Amino acid sequence: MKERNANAGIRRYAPMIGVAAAVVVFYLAIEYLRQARVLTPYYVQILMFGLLNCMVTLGLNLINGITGQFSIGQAGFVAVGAYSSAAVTTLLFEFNKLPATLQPLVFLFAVCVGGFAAGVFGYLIGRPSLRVKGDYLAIVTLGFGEIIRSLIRYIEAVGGPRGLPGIPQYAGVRGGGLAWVLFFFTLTVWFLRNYIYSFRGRACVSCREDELAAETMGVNTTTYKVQAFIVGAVTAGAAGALQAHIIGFIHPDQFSYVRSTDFLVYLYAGGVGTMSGAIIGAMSLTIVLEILRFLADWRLIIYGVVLVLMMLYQPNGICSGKEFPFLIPKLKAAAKSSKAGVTGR
Amino acid sequence: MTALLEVRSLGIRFGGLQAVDSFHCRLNQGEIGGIIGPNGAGKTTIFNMLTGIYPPTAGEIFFRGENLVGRPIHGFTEHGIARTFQNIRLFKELSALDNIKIARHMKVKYGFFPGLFRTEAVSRRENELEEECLSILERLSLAQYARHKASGLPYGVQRRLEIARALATSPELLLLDEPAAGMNPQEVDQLSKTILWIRDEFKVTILLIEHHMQLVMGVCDHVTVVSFGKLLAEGKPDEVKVNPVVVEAYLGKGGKF
Ligand SMILES: Nc1ncnc2c1ncn2[C@@H]1O[C@H](COP(=O)(O)OP(=O)(O)OP(=O)(O)O)[C@@H](O)[C@H]1O
Ligand SMILES: [Mg+2]
Repeated sequence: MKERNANAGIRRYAPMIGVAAAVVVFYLAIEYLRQARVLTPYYVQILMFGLLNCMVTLGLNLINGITGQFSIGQAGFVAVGAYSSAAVTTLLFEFNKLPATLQPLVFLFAVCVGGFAAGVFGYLIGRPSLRVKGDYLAIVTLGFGEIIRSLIRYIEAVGGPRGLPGIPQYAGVRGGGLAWVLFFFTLTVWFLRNYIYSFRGRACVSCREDELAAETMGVNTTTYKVQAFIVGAVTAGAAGALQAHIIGFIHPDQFSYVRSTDFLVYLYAGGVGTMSGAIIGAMSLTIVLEILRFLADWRLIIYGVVLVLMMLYQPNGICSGKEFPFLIPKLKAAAKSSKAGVTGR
Repeated sequence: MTALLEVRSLGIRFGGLQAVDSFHCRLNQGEIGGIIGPNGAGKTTIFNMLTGIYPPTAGEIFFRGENLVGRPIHGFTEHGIARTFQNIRLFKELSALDNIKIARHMKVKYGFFPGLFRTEAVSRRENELEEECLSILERLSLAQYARHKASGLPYGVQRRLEIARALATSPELLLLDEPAAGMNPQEVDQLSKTILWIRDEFKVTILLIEHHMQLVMGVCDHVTVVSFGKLLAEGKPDEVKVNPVVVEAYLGKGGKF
């Protein structure tokens, strides 16, 4: 009997262990290639930024793709996460003087603070935004992002308009920061997948599909719209915290509306409404943009052409509504569940 | 015995238009009530007030002895009132099964963090939910459409799915807004049987709006007639049918059902 339980446990956790193992193997492979000098730190850093962009885009997907809101101020949440976490490691603690055993804990704490602070702002923006819809909501969120950026310029303690240098590069390329980034990326994917395929995620989808019908099904649409904003913001905030500790320098202009637009492009190019779309879109476009860097000023023109072509030939995004099967939790009765999953796109 | 639903002098104004004026009705547990009346009489508006969508400008809605006026829409559902819409409002892009799952929203409860980690208990609950929903679909002969996108289903199936979705909230009172719209006589006949079966099978009280007299006469215990927002007549179907005021409102002078 005991043995059977143990077996069931193993079967239950097997996929998770599998994914964790795959992530570790991936990390070791990249580390190996880096040490063999096949990959320069530059490439590894692109990969890390790609993963961060994935995190932010996944959060945006929850707000725009799953819950059907139209937020375009995601960079504001990234800024909050970056600055609040940097405040922890530079102002609150003298990070570099901490004993080596404490550093990971303080760093984890800083990322949590970044996520939490961004979540608070997610609530502050999500709450009043409920009164406006569609284009108007977009304008409010855009304005919000810009307000955050302007406010930061006035906070002398974090460098104001000059930016904040000297943040410990604890997640930097050279310090094995890829491991941290992979860890938080995997956690984000896992949490968001579980969230989307819970009753809360379905409630979010119902807000997108038909708010009135959702209410008549007993869904408190206000709760779930705000919740989506908060969760999406926490994700962006955590990514911002990592970003600050990769580069070691943050500046208000890194979080302008241009950055917000990037995330939107990633999401809609990849395929809005699916996590696969967010991941593929953010990753591939981050890499494409880097590859095109040698074109200097021509880069954005080519990038624009690529996007237009994609919208013409693949209007629903690269993934066009298909979700990676491992991103849909298995149910016993659902042996033949459809590929579209609950997101229905 | 107190009635399950007791509506008193309910009224609503849209600017200059008194869409509904001192409407009242009373339904006991297990009864089937009907609301009839010409187009634009205010029938759907009454349903909208009974589900919290429009806040009435006058009157009370007592449900199991409690006045629900002023509650949010989902509060009405929580108290046990479910409905279908005149112009079907399914979650079109989602499968039939997911439509039902969303309707079970109030019946699924687990914490935010257990949900994020998808603990064993959460996973078990989600599996149970899948089975509950499949069985609801099965009971309404919709099992074969479980994985089909709602928007792709035939019209009649969509109507049935909307009823299934309303029932999935485990209501005590089911409001059906023109369930027979667009159906041919045989289908209407079938629907009459289905409605009676639903009342017994799901132990619900039903209030329906219909233009098909044949259906209203066949299933309703009690009929209320509205015209231009006013309550014209009420009573047993046979009484209402021969009430001269009603006949006139519906068919003009000299008309006959
Ligand atoms: N939100 C609203 N704002 C203004 N007027 C409204 C609103 N909703 C309904 N009305 C008006 O109230 C009146 C009653 O409409 P209602 O939809 O309730 O009629 P009905 O009896 O359901 O008609 P039908 O048989 O055609 O469905 C109509 O004159 C309609 O234009
Ligand atoms: Mg109507």
